[in-house]
Amino acid sequence: MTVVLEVKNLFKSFGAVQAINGTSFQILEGQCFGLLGPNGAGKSTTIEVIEGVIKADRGEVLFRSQPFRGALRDQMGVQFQSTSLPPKQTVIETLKTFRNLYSHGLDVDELVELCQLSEFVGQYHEKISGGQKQRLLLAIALCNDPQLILLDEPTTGLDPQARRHVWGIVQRIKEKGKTLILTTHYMDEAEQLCDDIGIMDHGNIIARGSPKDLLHTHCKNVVVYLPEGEAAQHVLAEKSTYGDVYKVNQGVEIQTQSLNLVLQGLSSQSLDLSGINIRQSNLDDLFLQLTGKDLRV
Amino acid sequence: MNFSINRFFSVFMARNREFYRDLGALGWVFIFPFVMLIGFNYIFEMDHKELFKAAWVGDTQVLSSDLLKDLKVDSREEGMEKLKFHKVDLLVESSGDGYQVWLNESSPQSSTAYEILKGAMSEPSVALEKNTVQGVEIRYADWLFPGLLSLNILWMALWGVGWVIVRHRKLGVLKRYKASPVTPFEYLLAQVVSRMIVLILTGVIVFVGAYLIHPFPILGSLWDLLLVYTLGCMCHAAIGLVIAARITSEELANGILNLITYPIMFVSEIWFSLEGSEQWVLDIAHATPLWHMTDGMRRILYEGAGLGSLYPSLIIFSSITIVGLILGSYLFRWNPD
Repeated sequence: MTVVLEVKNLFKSFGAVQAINGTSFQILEGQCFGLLGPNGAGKSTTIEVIEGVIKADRGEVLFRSQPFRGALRDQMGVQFQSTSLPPKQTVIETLKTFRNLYSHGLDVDELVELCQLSEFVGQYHEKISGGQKQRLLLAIALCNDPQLILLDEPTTGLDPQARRHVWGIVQRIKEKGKTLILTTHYMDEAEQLCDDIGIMDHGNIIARGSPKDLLHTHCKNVVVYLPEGEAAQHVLAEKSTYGDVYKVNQGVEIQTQSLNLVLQGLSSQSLDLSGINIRQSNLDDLFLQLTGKDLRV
Repeated sequence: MNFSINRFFSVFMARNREFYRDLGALGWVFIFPFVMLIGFNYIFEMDHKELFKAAWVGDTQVLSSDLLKDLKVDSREEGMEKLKFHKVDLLVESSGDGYQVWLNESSPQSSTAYEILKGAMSEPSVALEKNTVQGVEIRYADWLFPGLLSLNILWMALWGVGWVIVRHRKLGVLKRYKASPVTPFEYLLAQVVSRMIVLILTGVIVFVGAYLIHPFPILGSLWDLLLVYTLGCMCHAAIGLVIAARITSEELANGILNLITYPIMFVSEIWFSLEGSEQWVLDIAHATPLWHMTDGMRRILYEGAGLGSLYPSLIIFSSITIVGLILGSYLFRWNPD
């Protein structure tokens, strides 16, 4: 597949804070690339350098092997994490305002349909809900029918239903063969939408791959959670029997690749196992493992 | 230059909607000049000022009061002009054993100044011959009106362009525009043109409204007046662009705008004539576009002046507009650095 975007050795600092520290990556055509990391990891700064909103101190961004500037930027659509729209406009007026800034693009009706805006097109954008606002911002990002779409935390602060609504729209965009860059700190979102993931910390990518590959490589464990009580105390007392045991909020977690042995050990003690939870380790656990920090800190 | 009329028009229309849907701002823009006009007219009709200006033909005399400021004029004609246009309250000229005094009947200050002059005469026997100014009658409200229009423009142009851009930058509206193909020049021009339409519309409505409430003489061409008004508006809007080019704080923008507008307001002959002021005050006044605008409108309305005599003001307006647009676009930043 063709490389659409290439970020090479990017550096950006704000005073003493090194926001991006030599980041490099490539994105293939038609893929959704997810940049994951906690607040302050450098995701949004990386995205804003690609968008051209801020200038990098060093490094370059190439779009189809060309420096990404000038008219090439018309091939890009952007949904900012934090931005405002021209005040006192209805949704449809806002959409038309941005659509008319481009010489080519999707029809406004098509955008309304794609991003499911029809129920509130006549309302002022200041009055619509958070989920509706994100869909409007997504529609604006798609105005010029871009080849590359940058979505900076498109579902932050949304309720689960609104998030799934946005996911559905992103899936439809993917089906059109567009290339996407998505920043998020929701692992389920990345697993749901991204073909390729880069985990960022301290301004650099510390792990890279498809969600499946990352899980396969780094997350082979099963996590057994026991709430505080007799069983949890037993596990803490017999750590060596159970392997990797961590005290977590209101209980303990056992990370193991031998689930049967753990369950047999617990059963043999006739302990009260109500409240037990067993799950496959996920990218949240991977992030914790790689950085020592919770992903949403 | 990569200029797109579609992009310009799109931003222009967005700015227009933003303005006319802000009912508070809309009301203020139209109501303010009327309130000022009525208020100041009332105040000056009622108020007994403590300081009056008397123009003396030839050398000033020693007879006058501390309440009268004596100014020298070279001829009766020059004094008459000043009296007619409220630049002085009295005109006094030696006449045999006494003095001839001219009053402007439309000026409440004029008769008061005459009474003060009479009371100040050390020798009651000195004869005073009272006359009234001839020609077009200019009341204080008439004289004040162009000044109030200019003042409205000063605020509406500087805040309506400069402060709005700073607010857009602070809110992140400019960040969103930056990620689109719109250029700084297109964005800035849209702000200026949108504001120009508001200013011209406001000017016409206020002009007609003020005329209906308080008819005033119109000796010159209304087209000339419109041209002076329009160029003056553009010039002030362009100054707003330069001020707002990089500022990100509304508070700082307010402070700078106030710092600029207040001194200009006081030296632009909006409320009172600067006749008899120190030369350096006059020099400052003549360097401000607001003075040229106020003076130009007064001269067209009340002296029937044509563009031929106002060309220095027109050149100043045009030059500041061009420099402001170019400099504003050059200095402009979408984001805080």
